Amino acid sequence: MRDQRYTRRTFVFAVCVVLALSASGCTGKGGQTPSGGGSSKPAQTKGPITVGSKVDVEGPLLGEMIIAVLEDHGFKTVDKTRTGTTDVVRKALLAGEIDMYPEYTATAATQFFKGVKYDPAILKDAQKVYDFVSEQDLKQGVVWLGRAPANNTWSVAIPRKLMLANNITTLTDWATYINGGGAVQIVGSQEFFNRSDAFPAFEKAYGFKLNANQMIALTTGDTAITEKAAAQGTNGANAAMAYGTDGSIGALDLVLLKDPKGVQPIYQPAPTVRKQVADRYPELGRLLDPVFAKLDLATLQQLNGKISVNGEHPKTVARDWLESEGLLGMADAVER
Amino acid sequence: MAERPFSAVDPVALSGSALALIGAMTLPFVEFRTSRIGIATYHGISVAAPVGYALLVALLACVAVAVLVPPRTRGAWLKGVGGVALVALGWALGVAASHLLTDASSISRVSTGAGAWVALVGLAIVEFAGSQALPSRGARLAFDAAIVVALAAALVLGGAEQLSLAREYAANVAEFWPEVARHLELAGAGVGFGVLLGVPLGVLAWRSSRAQRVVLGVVGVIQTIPSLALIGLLIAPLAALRVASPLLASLGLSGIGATPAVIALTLYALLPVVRGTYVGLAEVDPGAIEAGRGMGMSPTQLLLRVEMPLALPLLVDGIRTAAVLDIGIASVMFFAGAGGLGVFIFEGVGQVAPDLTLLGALPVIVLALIADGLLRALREASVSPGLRGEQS
Repeated sequence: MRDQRYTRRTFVFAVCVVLALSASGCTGKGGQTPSGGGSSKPAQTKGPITVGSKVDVEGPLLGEMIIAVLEDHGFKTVDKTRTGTTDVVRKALLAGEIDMYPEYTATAATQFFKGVKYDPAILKDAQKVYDFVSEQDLKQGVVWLGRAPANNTWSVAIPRKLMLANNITTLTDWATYINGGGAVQIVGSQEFFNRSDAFPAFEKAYGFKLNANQMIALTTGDTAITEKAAAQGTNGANAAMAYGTDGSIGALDLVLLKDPKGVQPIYQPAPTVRKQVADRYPELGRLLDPVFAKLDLATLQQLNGKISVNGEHPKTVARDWLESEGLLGMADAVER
Repeated sequence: MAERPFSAVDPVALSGSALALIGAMTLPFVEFRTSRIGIATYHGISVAAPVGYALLVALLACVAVAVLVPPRTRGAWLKGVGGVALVALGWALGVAASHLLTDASSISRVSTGAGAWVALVGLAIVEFAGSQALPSRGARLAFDAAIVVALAAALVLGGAEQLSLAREYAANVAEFWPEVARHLELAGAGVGFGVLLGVPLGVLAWRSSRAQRVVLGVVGVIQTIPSLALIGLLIAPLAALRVASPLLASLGLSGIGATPAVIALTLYALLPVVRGTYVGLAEVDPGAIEAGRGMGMSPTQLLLRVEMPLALPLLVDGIRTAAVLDIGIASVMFFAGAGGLGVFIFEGVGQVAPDLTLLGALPVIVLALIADGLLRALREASVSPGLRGEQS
């Protein structure tokens, strides 16, 4: 009788201890999804290369494109797209937890090289800002591959109805409308309204000034939220902070205002690779440059729209586009 | 006993069924969007006709059962009629989706509306009230199992896979299960280390009153640190540690990812576990301790053979609290780059796709409920046989 009780208590206690130990032993396996499972891929002898990305719509799209192209050319890849916010994914790259991820030129120029002085005018020149970040990042052990022509920079989107009613297609028109007493309520992030090279730069260049009542500042930088607010007229919003390649603008019946004076920094995406990996596989540039060279504004808008509006998976959208452009399957052709 | 009119009314069941009925009738049953991120238009329960009306009838029947059926048989009636209502709800959602999507474009979305959610909550309350009124554990389990199976069948056969939530799942299925596993790994590690650290700390606190103040004070303060702030505080020192020590780096220590996440989750698990251990030991019957001493046990023997076994139920309760807490907080570990179901939650928020957010949030709730249930059962099992029957 006494032995029975002893055995049961010991058993329960042992279960608790075993659970505790096995639970704590579970870490360190990593949340990586090996991206195998393709049907007709060439033998994967090189790599593995871990590809990360940010957590918006375009990040996973570009990440999946990189993965598809690499796998097509015999690389084993580890899919770590949706790694985290810019901070997190950049730290992951520098720490070697991921080997590459797509980053924007002006983002790198303004955020990654604290203490390095540079002429702000280079941010408006696509080639100059790219050269600057390539050079500076080499010192941090990161190599920049070829960039895409699309400029995913800040702009303002307004509802189509407003555009039609007041004939506003550019930021100049919008400034005229505002200065003429037009009602405006713009939704954007704190950063957008505070950074001198963001919204204040628009105000300065186009000659208008909004007061605090006309701006709704959010803590988040997600343009999906600002665009939806402007589309729905939440809190009277009729303008939204937007990015050039956002896919949801058309679906929400908004229009992106043109920036004829070219006020904003140029944010072009390019793959950023750890130097060890880039040195080990110098062919990465040859493989990915032609892919990124084809990504212009209209293409990215369309592909992003498929993901955010239609709900398609970035992997499918990326692969379908690559196949339609003839960028996949070339390795097979050569080997046969 | 004098029979007062409506003395047999079950207030809990009545509230639940009334809530469900009013919600289903007055609030939007489903939302329709022209695209995943489009602006919603709202539709009432009539769009789910005729099953929607059957749902209303079933909810009315629940109200009637709550008011009219005598307590003796009420449990079975509530579970049964509530179960029928749940089936009707699941089925009605599928029917509503079919109606709204037949002539719409392929990218249109139908989501559950506030009315459907309120009805679900109300019915959960009714089922709970029914369980309370059922005396036999076997009957409760049988009803619950039947209801789960029937609801699953109603969802599958009624066409609920057309709902936006199901489509988000289908689009993200390749990442979904790995993130669920990741979420459980993080929470499990947090609880595991929390137990390994917290139980000795709890014993220490119980042994010495000075230690008690310090230990309970410290873990209490830790609990008040907001999770995002704690992650932020951990990232920089861990990154520096990684650079300074290649040995630790090779073991997988990192400034982002699992390391700060598990450390934070362990810290949050400490308070419930330490408290559970401490209170469990403090509640041990002094008579048992006296008896042990009388038998000549040393303090260590006393701890291991008398005090800990008797403290086990409250300790397991503490672990249960820690588990539910950590499963919830693990959602936020996305900000440490650790993955988990938070990926879907915050991606959904960022893209303003509410069903993607639900794809992350609902499993967190389900996992927490499962953990709670399992640990409750473990608690029952851990009560010393000599004390069973005294504890409810």
